[in-house]
Amino acid sequence: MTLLMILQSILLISGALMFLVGSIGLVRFPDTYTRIHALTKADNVGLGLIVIGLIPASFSVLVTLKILLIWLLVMLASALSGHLVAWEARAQQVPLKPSEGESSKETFSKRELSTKESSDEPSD
Amino acid sequence: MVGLYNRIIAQPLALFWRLALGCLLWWILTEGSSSSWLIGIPTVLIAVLVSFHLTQYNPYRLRFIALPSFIIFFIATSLIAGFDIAKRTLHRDLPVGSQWVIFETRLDGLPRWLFMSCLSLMPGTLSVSSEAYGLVIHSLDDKATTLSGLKKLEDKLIALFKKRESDL
Repeated sequence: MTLLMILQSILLISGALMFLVGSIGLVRFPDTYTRIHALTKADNVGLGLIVIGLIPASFSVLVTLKILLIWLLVMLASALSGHLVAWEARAQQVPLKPSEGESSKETFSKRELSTKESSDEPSD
Repeated sequence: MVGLYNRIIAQPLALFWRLALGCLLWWILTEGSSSSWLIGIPTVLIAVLVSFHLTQYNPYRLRFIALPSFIIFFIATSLIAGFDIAKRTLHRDLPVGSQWVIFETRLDGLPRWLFMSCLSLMPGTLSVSSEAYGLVIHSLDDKATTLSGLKKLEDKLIALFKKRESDL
């Protein structure tokens, strides 16, 4: 029983952490499209881990089916809403941002460039 | 209204499956409470009517034999997708590309819709729009990796559906 509870706790906590990672992605990623990637995928796995963690709490077939159904519906909703936001963003011609940090070298040269520019034009 | 009635009569098997699915969903949602069927039966009937009203004739049939392999593939790949995006998010250099990829697909109708929904939960891809020349997809990876991943999903979906005999 204790072992099961430890396993459940691990699943629930890692599920919550995946939601957190999705939200960090929302802040860190460079443009609208990449942010949608972060939210849909990380949240889907986060919810999946929480659902699996909750199944042993009841041991009832119907409750298990119900939370699996919730997972399925949320999955569909997140895939669809992600698609709709991306579709609308493209329709409004929201640009793709050139990704920073493709390689550390590139980031470095970009950073160097921007500092150069700002040092050249201190009045700006 | 007459059109709707004719469409329902023309597809008795579809009617049966939708009623069965509606009842199953209601049974699960109410956790088997028997008194809830007073509301449940009308709800299921209305839901089935609305579903016939909203959907076009679907020439594809689900191959149940291919379903377990598809579900396993989908769960495994979407788990990889989640951990992949977590790795990218927490990486110091943020290794994220951002580009459009056009994917020409042989799928249409229901399989195409399912393909677009599934690929948003696959590693590095996001469905954006469905055009006559193919699907517009946003990708975090280079083109070759994206296309090979999408090809695998497309093959799984082709295995999952077959055309009805009457339409062949």
